[in-house]
Amino acid sequence: MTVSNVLSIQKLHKNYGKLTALNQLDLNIQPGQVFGLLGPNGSGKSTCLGMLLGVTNPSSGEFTWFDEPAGTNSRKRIGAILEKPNFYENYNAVRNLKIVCKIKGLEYTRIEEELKRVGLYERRNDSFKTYSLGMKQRLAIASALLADPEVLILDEPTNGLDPQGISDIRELILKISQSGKTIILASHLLDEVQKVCSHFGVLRKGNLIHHGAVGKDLDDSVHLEVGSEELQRLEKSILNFEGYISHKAIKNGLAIKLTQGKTASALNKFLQGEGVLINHLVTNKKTLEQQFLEILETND
Amino acid sequence: MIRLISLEYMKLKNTTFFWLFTGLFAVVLIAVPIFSKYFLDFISDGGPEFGGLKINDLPFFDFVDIWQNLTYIIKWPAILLAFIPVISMANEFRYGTIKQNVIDGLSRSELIISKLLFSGILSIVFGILVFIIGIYMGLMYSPVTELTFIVKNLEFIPAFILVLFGYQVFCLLITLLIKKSGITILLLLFYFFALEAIGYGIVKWNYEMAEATSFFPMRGMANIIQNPFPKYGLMQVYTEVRFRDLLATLGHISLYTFLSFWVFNKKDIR
Repeated sequence: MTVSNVLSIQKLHKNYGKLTALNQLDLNIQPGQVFGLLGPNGSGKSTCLGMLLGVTNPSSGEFTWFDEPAGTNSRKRIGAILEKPNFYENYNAVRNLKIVCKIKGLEYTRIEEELKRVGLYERRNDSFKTYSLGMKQRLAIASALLADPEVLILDEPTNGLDPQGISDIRELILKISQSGKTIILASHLLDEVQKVCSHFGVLRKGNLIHHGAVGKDLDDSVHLEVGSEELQRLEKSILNFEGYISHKAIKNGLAIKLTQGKTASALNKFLQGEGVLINHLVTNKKTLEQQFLEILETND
Repeated sequence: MIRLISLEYMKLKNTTFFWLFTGLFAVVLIAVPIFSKYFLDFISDGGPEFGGLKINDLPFFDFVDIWQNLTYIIKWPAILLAFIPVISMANEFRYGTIKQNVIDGLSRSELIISKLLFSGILSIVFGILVFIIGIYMGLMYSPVTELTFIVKNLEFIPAFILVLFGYQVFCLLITLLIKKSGITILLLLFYFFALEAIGYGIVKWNYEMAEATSFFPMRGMANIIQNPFPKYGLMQVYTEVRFRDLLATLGHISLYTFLSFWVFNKKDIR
């Protein structure tokens, strides 16, 4: 059975006293999407996920999972980690995962496989409290994957990890996303979302201020900053550069957008040929961050 | 149902506190009657006589009397057992596992049900243990061992099971409110052995108000097993489970069960 929406949210609202944590959220997520929920800390991401997963009671509004009213049955089809890995401290990995199996109504058969997938098999008999944060996070992912869920929800999965841990987790998410699962990833880290997500939404102070496909808004185009004392000549010449998309004026130069694969050195060579001397050339890879900040600014 | 019971058992079976408290209570449960027997024999040996009657001539361990005597004494240390749901629940808050349980697909009500069912099983197990000890002590020391006498007043065993269960439900409710095991246990101990004990004493002493003792949260439940010992001083006591005490116990249990569900479903889990 295919569902049109994995998740459909209508006017979901949460306030704590006077504070509005999430404001009338409407959102649909389709099967196969890797949805990045972006927002600074305290923007309502965790509140939103908490409600979708039954731990936080909504003030008002509704949502359905798999086109059905949300409940324990829908949650059993979801693998999720919120904020930090929560396990029985004195229990080892296997015992902890057995408890998860019990709750989800699963056989214990997949435990070994999932522990191997996240690289914890060797440490499976050590108690949870002896694990490093990265290992705890990996166990949480193993636990979320135990039911071979249709949807995976990850809330700040790389929070507090060292660079090695971050890269391990990202690689794992990428692998999982390639298997066609729907993933909802909450993060305040933009490159994290850019690297893995197909769609994204931006939350700010409880409001969803932007949502759309990553491909459209956050493409792989190359962004350069070029400075020159001959701005007018630069502006004229740049139009003839192969791969030119757009430009706009910035302080002491131009911000230029080029198609994927173009490099600063190619542009430099071209401009030299045109006889334009430049005094500043920077490749700006953080397109999403710029975009993100722009979105935040325009909504201020 | 089996799934929920075994879920709670899985959470407990590898913890120290679970085996510590069940073990401790089991030891108390076995040791108290045996030691009281030795103790009574000891002080009777050349001890004071009351009109030719020694203390251990009193039928403490005789059938009919034994069920009420045993369950009355052991209902006091039974609070040990109630610390199991306290620590178990408080740990779930502390480690955030309660949150993860819900996320994984357990409903909040199911979580409470799993704790309560397990408490019920635990109460029954200890009820059976008391029954075995009663049978053993009775067969050893009771002058009458006819079946009709053995089974008479046996209703104190299910009454004892209700008390055990009631304590656990009450303590679970308090844990749902306080969420920390250490402070909950201290508070419960202080309440049970000081605050309620004093209040109970005052109310009980006041003859007109004596029946109002049913309203005390813990002793109101424990009242189902009334103190049998004054009868050996030729005072009048209730030597059976009174219907109104049974109602009070069931009332308390229902109230705490309902409140547990209500409190836990109403609040956000953090």
